[in-house]
Amino acid sequence: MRSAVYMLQQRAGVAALKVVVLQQGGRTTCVWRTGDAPARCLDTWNKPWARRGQLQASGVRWYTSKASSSITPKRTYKAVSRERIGPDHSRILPASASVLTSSTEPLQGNSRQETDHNKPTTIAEDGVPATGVDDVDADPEVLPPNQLWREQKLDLSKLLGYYMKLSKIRLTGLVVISAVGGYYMAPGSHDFSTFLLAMTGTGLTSCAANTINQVFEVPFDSQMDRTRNRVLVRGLLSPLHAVGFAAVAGSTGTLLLYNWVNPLTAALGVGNLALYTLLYTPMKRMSIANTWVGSLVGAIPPLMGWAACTGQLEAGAWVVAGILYSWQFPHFNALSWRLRPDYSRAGYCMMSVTNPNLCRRVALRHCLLITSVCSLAPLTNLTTWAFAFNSLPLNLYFTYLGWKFYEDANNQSARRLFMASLWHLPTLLLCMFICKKSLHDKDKQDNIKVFTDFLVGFHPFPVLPFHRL
Amino acid sequence: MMIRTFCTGRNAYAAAMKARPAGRRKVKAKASVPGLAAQPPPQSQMAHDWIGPADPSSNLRPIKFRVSAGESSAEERLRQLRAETQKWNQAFWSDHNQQFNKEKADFIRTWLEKEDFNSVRTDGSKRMPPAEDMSEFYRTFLTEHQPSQLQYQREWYKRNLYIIYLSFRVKMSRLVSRALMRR
Repeated sequence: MRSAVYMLQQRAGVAALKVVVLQQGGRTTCVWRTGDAPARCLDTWNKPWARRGQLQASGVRWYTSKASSSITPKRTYKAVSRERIGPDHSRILPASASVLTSSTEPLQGNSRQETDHNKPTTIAEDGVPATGVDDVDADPEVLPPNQLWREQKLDLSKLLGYYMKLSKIRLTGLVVISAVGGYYMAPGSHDFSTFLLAMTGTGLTSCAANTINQVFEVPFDSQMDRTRNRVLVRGLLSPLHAVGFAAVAGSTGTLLLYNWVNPLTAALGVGNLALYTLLYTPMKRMSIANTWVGSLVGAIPPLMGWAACTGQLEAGAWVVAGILYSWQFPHFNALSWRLRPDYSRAGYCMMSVTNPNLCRRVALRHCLLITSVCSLAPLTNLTTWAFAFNSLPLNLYFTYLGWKFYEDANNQSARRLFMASLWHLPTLLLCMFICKKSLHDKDKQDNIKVFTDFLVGFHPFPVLPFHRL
Repeated sequence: MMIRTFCTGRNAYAAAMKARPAGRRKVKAKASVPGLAAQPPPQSQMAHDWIGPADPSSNLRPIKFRVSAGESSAEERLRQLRAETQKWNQAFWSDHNQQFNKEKADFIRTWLEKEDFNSVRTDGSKRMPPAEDMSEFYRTFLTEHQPSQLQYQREWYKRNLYIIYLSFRVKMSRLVSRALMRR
């Protein structure tokens, strides 16, 4: 696309955006959006070859915005009009990237773009004109794919993608990472095959839990922007197929854990699955206590990892689980703050809707809890005292953001707390790994050292001198 | 000015192109994308169920069910249950969303009345209540409608479980009959 100021109209005809496209060095780089949000690159424009599922017809090209996080929906737009801009971009771009003008200010030079909102003329990119979507006889060439009727025939080539979306693969990955954390921190002997089996089992049970959750939430997911493009909402798989996938994944994972790892780990896995599908999912609509149940669900994977290593749950396991339990509150409360309208309409009982003060209090309370637990973790022989000091700045910054959220809860403070929680946990876990007690014990070197050497052997970077820490 | 003439010219061109004789039209891209259409085909041409775009009032996607020729009673029961559940869901959510919009409009109107009918800001955009006031509305709406939501949820879980159970039985019977036919 050439450098220009484009007027985009959203698919449903609700919103119109003014968008500035810059071309630098022959490549479309960034797209700025005037209005409320920060500048965001529109995915399809940067990578036209990745235009999946879009019609290459002689019609309107539909562009999908890249969702910057899982809580922002993808929007579909069509270009309505275009104004060329000269080499002098400064009169259009604001001084700083993050400061944007309000959407009611017309762009300099041409205020006629504001006038024809009711009857947009659609201009296709390759120069062939098209009919507009306001026509009574909707021409299938110009409708975007999600306004068409689709045959419910299973597309086998996309099956793996559907399974990954059903199992919320990114969330499952984070669950497995927390289980890895639990396994690594455990003071038992580390065996790579057991480790692999334990993590696979944990991942499979997590896939099963997420799938069952999605099967029962179809009508509620259709109401909310964030979730309305899920696999079952769009009818890409039948509910029976999804349940079958969950049954296979769940049973395989549990059997794996029972046979080759540990009965305790298997029991924890099944318990977590039951807690999530049978208690948390229905409870989301019954009472705000669901947040506490959900935090418990998030705290069990490290216990599973720890049990996979040592076969029992020592004090250190509860410390790691406690940190993860407390972390869920600022993470989820900040996320749910911005989704209050959607939760209210879809009927979900969340603290942010029914009791906003409690929501902020609980988030701050658990930020402080994380700080105190991390400072006292060395007492359980989990880590050295270096951890208490290393984690303090991290936790204090996190608590500071929690305090800001408590003091003045708005979309901005909620977003900052949520984004911080995303890197706070991995960094804290990394700190914990480095300060693990057994690493620094003089007499317990062999087993841990073998495992650490094995892990470090994969590392492309120079080996950190663990013995020097 | 150039944009307006540009657009008018484009529209005139579009009208002229549409008025061309049919034989010279480009092949519709739709033909190369099977399984997508603006409307579902008639029952006789349907090989599978068709799922449509989200209904604007209920946000649910309607499914047009395929009535196959040699349908067993179990399959017919399943289809009827799915169709009936779909209708029930549609009725509930369209009514619920309508109530939400109405109550939200009422709330905003009362808020504006408290603010001396000053509904238009100086720069031309409409005034809306700030987030803290809106959160009051969201809270009252949720608590008011919670009993009906709980009742809906109970009913939905029962129906969904029964649909999954019936589709499992139908699938099994189809597999068995196909295995028997192969023999």
